[in-house]
Amino acid sequence: MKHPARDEWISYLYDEVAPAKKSALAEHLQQCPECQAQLGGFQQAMGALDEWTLPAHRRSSAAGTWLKWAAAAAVVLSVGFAVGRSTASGSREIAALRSEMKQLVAQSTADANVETIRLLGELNESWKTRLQAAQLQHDNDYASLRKELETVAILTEASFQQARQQLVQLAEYTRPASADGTRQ
Amino acid sequence: MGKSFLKKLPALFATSDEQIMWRVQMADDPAAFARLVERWQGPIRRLCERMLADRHRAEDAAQETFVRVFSRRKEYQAQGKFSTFLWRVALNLCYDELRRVRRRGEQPIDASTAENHAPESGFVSSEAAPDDQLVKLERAEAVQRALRQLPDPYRSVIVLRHYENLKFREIAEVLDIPEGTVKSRMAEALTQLGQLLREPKNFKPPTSSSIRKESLIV
Repeated sequence: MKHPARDEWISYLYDEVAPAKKSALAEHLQQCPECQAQLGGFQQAMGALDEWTLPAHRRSSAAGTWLKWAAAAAVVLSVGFAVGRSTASGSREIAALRSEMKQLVAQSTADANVETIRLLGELNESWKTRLQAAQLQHDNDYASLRKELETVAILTEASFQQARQQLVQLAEYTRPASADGTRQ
Repeated sequence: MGKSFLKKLPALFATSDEQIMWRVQMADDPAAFARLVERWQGPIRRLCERMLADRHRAEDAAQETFVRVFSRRKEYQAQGKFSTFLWRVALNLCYDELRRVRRRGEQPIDASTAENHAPESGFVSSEAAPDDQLVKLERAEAVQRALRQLPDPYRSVIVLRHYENLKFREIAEVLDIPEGTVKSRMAEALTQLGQLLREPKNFKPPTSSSIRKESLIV
């Protein structure tokens, strides 16, 4: 009798043979103690392999760079799940949890409001001070500018007068000369 | 039929790994890559844990796998499956780590601790008595010890086919060898495993509690 190859039995054991081939192998197996023994050996080893099971993993134990993203996704999912659970179930615990959550939210909102108002007050104060300082600076600048302008104006007037006097003097000098000229 | 169609709907609209990876390649989008990490971190971590038989080293190797895949994102060829690329990177990292461990002559940190092969449900389950749990743990430990003695190429085929449920064809792609070779490795691996498990040195002397259990059974 021609025995199927070992590889064929391996495919048979892992259910990777076409149906026709499978029934042919099964038929052979029924009447061949040799192949039965071989298959039995494989099956025993396969059964032994099944005895080594791995414990379930804790997701957080391998938090690497990539796994952090996965963790973030898991958080989002679990929040969604929690929300779903709380809306789906009407048990007392959920209700208690919900009222607690409500209180917490109300409390934290109130706290946040107080803090906001305080911060707004601070901001207002600081703006006021700054505005006053700016006003003062502006006034000072204006006053000094005015003073300077006045000085310039006085100086200008003085120089105008001086110029007029000089013009008068000039006129007085040139008149006798021209009179002389007409005489000649 | 309507129901099964509805069940398949999300899968139809889900973005494939390859589409996401294309986005990662084109736009260097870390958020898109985070989706791939989320999808694959479980299987990759399990692969590393089975290959290295050390939970802490496995965590590091799994993390390193994703870092390496992101840094080599341009090397990924769009015509291949993303998972094939990912398994290959992870497996190579495991081989490197195993070589390092052997060179240093180190023992896996927690190979002999119960934590590594406790059943999924935790230590105490409602169905099994504590003694049954202990017997289970001892058997699991024996399997783990036997697997550690297999050559790396045999162990990787066992891990990918038996534990991670990849088809032989997919394993052939990951390892870049003919499918027939994968199957012969699997046959050889199971044969050797059976022999190793029959060797008495692979079993610890029974503890007092398991003796008590056996005497109760007899």
